Amino acid sequence: MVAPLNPEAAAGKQDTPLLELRGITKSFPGVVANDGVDLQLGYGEIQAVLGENGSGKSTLMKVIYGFHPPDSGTIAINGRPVSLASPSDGRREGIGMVFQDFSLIPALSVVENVALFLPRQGRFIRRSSLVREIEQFADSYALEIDPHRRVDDLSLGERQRVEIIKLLLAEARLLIFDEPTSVLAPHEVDGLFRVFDALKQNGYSILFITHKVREALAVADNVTVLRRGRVEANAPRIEFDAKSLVAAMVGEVSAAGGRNEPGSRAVGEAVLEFRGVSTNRKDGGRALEQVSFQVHRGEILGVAGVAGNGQRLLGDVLLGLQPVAAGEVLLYGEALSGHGPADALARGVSVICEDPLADAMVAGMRVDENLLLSGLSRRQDQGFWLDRQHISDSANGVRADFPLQMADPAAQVRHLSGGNIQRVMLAGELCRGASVFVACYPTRGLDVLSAAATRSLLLEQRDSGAGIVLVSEDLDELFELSDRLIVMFRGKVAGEYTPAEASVQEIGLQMTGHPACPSPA
Amino acid sequence: MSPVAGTGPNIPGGISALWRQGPSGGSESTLRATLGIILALAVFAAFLGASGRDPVEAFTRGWNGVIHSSLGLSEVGVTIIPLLLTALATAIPTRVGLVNVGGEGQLYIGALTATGVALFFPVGQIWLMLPLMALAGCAGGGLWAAIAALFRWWRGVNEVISTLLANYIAILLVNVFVFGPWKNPLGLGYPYTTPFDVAAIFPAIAGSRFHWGFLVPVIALIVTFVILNRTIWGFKMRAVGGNPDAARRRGIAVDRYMIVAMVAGGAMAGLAGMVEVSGIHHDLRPGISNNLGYLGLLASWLAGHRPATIVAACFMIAVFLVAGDVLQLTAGLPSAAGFVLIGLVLFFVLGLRKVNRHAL
Repeated sequence: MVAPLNPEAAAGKQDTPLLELRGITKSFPGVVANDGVDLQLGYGEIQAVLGENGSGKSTLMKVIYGFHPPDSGTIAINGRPVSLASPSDGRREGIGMVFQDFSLIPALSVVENVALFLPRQGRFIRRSSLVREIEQFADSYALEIDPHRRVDDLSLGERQRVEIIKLLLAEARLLIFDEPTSVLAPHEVDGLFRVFDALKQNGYSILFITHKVREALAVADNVTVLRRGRVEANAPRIEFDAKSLVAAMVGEVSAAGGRNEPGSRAVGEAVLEFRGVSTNRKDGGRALEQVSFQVHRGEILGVAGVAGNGQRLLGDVLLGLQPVAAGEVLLYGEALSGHGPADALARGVSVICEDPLADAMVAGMRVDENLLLSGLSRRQDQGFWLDRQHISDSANGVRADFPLQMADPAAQVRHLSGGNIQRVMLAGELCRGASVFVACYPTRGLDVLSAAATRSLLLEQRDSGAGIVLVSEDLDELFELSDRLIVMFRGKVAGEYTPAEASVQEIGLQMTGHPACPSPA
Repeated sequence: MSPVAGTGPNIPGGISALWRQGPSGGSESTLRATLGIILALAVFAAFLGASGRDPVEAFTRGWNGVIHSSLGLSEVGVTIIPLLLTALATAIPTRVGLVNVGGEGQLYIGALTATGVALFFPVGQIWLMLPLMALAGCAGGGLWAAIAALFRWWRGVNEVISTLLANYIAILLVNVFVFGPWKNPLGLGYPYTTPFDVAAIFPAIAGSRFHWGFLVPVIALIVTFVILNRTIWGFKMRAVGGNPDAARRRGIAVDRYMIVAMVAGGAMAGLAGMVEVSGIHHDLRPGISNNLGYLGLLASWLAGHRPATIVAACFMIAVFLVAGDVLQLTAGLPSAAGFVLIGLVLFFVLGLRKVNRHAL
């Protein structure tokens, strides 16, 4: 049962593609998400679908999966036209999809989650045989997993493996991945790509969505670039390089980012200093352990690390939301008051949160109201009455000045897309004149142009004298922006570098807990 | 089974969009409320028909008894006064995301403290006596609610449970006083306190049971509306209710807002207790509230916790309650008929709404 595909049968059908889309058009009110899209996918082929946010790649995948029936166009599988009206139609045709946010039940074990997914189960779960099957697949495709562990104990990478095993057991032949690397640490990405290769060797076909050019070039056989719902380019990978792919993604406008020349400027006094800061976890361990660093006026300190190694606590500590168990935090050379966020915010601190909807925005409020919220602490003379006209006017002012495109101030935040929400949060944080920033993943969820504009804005803030802590997993971004870099691993500072003397590989290794080895350069 | 099984394609437009989209408040919820009431009346009519009564005749009698009779109208007025206040007792805490089920108990405690002032600090002048009693009622109800708020703050105790349980304690506490130390020595053993001095009583209007205490909920509604919708306080409360974590990161004192909102809600219910003892009973006795706290809770939910809509919801509930009494007298229906009707309305109005937790 391990290889439900017969490679010979697959080989015999080389001429007919496994999947063929012709003229797929799908529109939603006000937007044409897919406009006459053609796409072919062969047996044992890995194809990357590359595009910016809003280029229509997710919609296209959902059309293939049967989630969105297309307005027009045809879908053929093995040369046979099919009509996919629902995900169950898609699954019947052997199409499986791994979503960005996984669909596992945290309280159940791996084997129970798999059993829930499989349609052929009777009333009882055949646990032991299912465990055997899971282990077989895990062995064959390097999908190491313990079938008996509870899903909430698994890392995101492990959960992704469970999703893949689910699809394999359900006899999917075509696996669709929606931004599969967005939740993974760098070393996990390599692991996933090895899984892709193993699957490909066994005749599975893979479509994966990404907006990272590097990934498309690393693993895909063929690359399709979508822009504004249309296929902009489609060719074997070898015909592309990074430059041509980016050009196809963003069009004529060049993705100009602010260029950084670290070390070329005079750096001022320290605005923020962590001195041996430790914080406690609920289970008694340390979430941050002896963290020390300084950020100076006019400097960006990059913090590299895989998510969950304590970086997001830096902002909470600074805001006074996370009690400091040992050590101290100095803001402009003075110890933090411990009076909580209002005080820190009033002293010019700005924390750009990792997850705006959870930590920074009120979804049930309008955009302008959320902008007021982010500025509330600074308006000492905010008064008693709520002046709606003033709120709306100042939001329109921000919107006019802010270089990133911003949503209508009267729109409810909950109706906005992730990228729009991120831009509203950035506007609120970057336009209120703060002088110490902790920016966590500031470009997450943004398209290439917005991300580049955001990086320029951070550099602008730095040049006008702000001290910035930039938390990111994107090493390119960190190397581009940072004047100095620290690496965090398991709550500790694992190393400190300047971008000029460090290599991406070295930092990448440290992020995953490997001891630093001297750089060959 | 599958990640997406059951989640149909999200097609904007169509009938279902009528319920999901559209501006919050406004015509959409009015339409929904009207539809819910019609459905509830239809089911109630079917009940009446099934039990061998003529629904048309019963409705006509109920309508005439309430609307075309000065007694009926004054009873509606008498019922709506405390109801508006207990509805606010629920509506204010929902702004910060708290659910106050304790209106009933807070009403009793407010009645107790107001009575205490009336009995033991008789100032003599009505213009001073009534505000003092009102203050005492607010303080009593507010303190009673503060217990639940503080338990939540200290220990994370769910306020739904704590306010609900506190209701029973409050009712029994009132009994302790009226059966014990505060019992009227000349009251022939009845568990009533001594009747209030005339300065401690809201004067009746035009010889009916309706009294000048109606000004209390009117003022309370206006003040609440202005604070919630027109001030930075109200704005911050909305932020706390919408996303407490974000509000905290924005420097809002989330815990303080939660406690204050809960206390303010309790104060409203306490005020209802004061108005009842001063305007209706003129003494303190067991059973001063016929579920007014819980009915206020229903009114607030029916109205989506918006002060302006709460007036309409309270009016409807009051009409149904009085109509139930009228039908008991004229058509031989049990007096619970009014409660049945209110229950049906709640069921249909809330059932037609897609409950959105963030919109609470």
